[in-house]
Amino acid sequence: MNPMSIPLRQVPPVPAVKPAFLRLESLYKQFGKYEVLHDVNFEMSKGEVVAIIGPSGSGKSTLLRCINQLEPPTRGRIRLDELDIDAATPMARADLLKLRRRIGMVFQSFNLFPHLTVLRNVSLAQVRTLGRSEREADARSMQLLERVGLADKAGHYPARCSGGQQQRIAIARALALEPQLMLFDEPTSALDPELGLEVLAVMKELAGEGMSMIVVTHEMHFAETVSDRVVVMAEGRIIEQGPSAQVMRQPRHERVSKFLQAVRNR
Amino acid sequence: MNALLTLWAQWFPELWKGFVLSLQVTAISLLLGIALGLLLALGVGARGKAIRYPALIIVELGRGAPALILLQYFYFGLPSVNLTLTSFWAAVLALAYCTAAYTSEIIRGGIEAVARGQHEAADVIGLNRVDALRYVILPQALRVALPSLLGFSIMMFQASSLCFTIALPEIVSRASAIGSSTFQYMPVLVLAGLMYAAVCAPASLGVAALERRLAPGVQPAC
Amino acid sequence: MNDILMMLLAGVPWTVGVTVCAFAVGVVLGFPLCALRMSQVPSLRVLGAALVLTLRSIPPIVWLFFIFFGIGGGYVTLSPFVAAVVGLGLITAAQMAEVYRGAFAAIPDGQYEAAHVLNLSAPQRFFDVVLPQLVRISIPTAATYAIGLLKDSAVASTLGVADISFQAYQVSQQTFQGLGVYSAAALVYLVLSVPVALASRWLSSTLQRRISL
Repeated sequence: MNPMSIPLRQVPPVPAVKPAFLRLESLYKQFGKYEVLHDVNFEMSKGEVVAIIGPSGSGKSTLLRCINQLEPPTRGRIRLDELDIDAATPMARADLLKLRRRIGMVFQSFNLFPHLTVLRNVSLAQVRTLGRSEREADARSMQLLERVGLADKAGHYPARCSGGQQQRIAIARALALEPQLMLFDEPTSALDPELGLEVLAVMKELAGEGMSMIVVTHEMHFAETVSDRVVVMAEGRIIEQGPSAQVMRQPRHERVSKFLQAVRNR
Repeated sequence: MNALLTLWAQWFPELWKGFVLSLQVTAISLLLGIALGLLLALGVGARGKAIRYPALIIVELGRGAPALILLQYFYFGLPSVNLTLTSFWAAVLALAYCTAAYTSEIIRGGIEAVARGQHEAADVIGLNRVDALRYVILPQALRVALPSLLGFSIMMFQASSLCFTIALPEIVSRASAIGSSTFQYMPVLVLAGLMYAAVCAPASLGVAALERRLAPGVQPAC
Repeated sequence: MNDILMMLLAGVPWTVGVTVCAFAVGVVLGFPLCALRMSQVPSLRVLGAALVLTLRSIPPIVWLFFIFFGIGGGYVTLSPFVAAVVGLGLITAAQMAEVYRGAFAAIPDGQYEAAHVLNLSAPQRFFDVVLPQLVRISIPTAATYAIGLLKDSAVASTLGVADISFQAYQVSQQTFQGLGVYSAAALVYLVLSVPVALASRWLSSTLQRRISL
């Protein structure tokens, strides 16, 4: 075969076709003496769905929380589009708000506002941070609630909703800011399996619509079938990453295969 | 018994005026004091030392000094620096300060009782600090603090009786004046006591009931 | 300024005296009142609750006047000090009854069951098992209340007890330095409350160690 006929883009090293949308450069995080993240490098492009898996205490959640600065990293750099955040320089409050508005986050424990109705939960940030009118925000919130299948709960308080419903409301609340990136921190871990399924269904739909997502999860099925890429963490480092099917079925590291085995046998 | 009721009927209008004044002083002090208490609570919780320490000192002085001393400080003390207040305003300011010092601690306790996840949720939806406090943290904190704030308000109504010492014509002043002119101390003081109890006893029972209803774990109904 | 401070300090024994005596009265009378409040007999229980509520719903100054002028004026002669101690003592008893009741509720059920299983007599159960725990659990709340009582004892000055507040009033009227006098008086109260707080901490940690071992 004529070497010249090899398409150019297959010549190693593979250059990035699209510029990275999110890029983490040698991120470190320390809590006192404990190093929770060690030299984490990661990038993803727009529309990608990345699952982060790994044993508990491996730093998955911390990594997620570093991305939106809930935990400011000790060292390293985060780039999201044109935003460039270096841990070495203190962050301006305005930049922080800009970052937060572009990233939606869904917590393990939902963290809905218990004193507000479901509708207000979704509307609040639109009114206060996007400057929308109450009417406009409520109309948009209803659309979002419809999308997660909970329009009928708009007037209820979160306490009257099941865990699965609360988590779907939390997703609607995060989507209300029209984020470019959604972070999910073990979104189904606090739920009974069947309630977790309804949350996963919403997430799958979202992924299908092209939302960029990073999902810390113990749901191996979700990681394998919905995500494009799987990142495996252990002891604060990324020990393996690659296309989902490959990582989940033929992991390169023995450690990863042991972990997967342990999780699947549970 | 009839004689007693006749006396009470005779004194009641006079004591009623005092009762209304006691309520007014209490209400204004509480309004001013709780607002200030909220500011102090935020001040004591502030990260900057330049705000935190002065706020702490203001709170600790207000909690450490007897209410009686605060009242006399404002009424007998301030004139020595040529600032003379009427007994009404001295009472309001002193009791407001006392309220601020105590309620700041109550409110701070409420703020600390709000789960960390609520702060984080407010952060990640891009609320700035003021909005996060106003729409997310304080509504929940004040709900937690409500029974204690109401309980404290009942205490303050009782504490307004100390305004007797700065010649404010509230219930006790009037009862004491009637007592000293008629030498009928016992019946007039019983009437005064009943007027306090008529407000405070049902209010205390109400607060206790509210406290049970708002006990942790119980969520608001629709 | 030195003279002023000396005169204020002359009030300290009276303030401490009223506080300590009223607290002692309250600590002791709190027990029977608590027993009433927790009685198996409904009418006694209501009586106990009514007593506690009444004592707590009427301001101290009214109780003091009632005892000093009302009872003391007509029937028996009471000194201002005794009237103050009785009045504040009764109010304290109502508070302590509530403190004890809370402490009873905080003792784990297993303790009573264990005492029964060990075949202890009723007095043994109370004095050897319940009381020590009750005291330990009550101390922090009781100490907080004692500090409050120290400040509330200022009301005794309205009867003429020569305590710190009484002295502050006298001195401010004589010297026309009200601001300084009352500030100093406030500080004296603040300083007095420190040992109570420390004692409470020491006592509860000592008891904790002795009882939990």
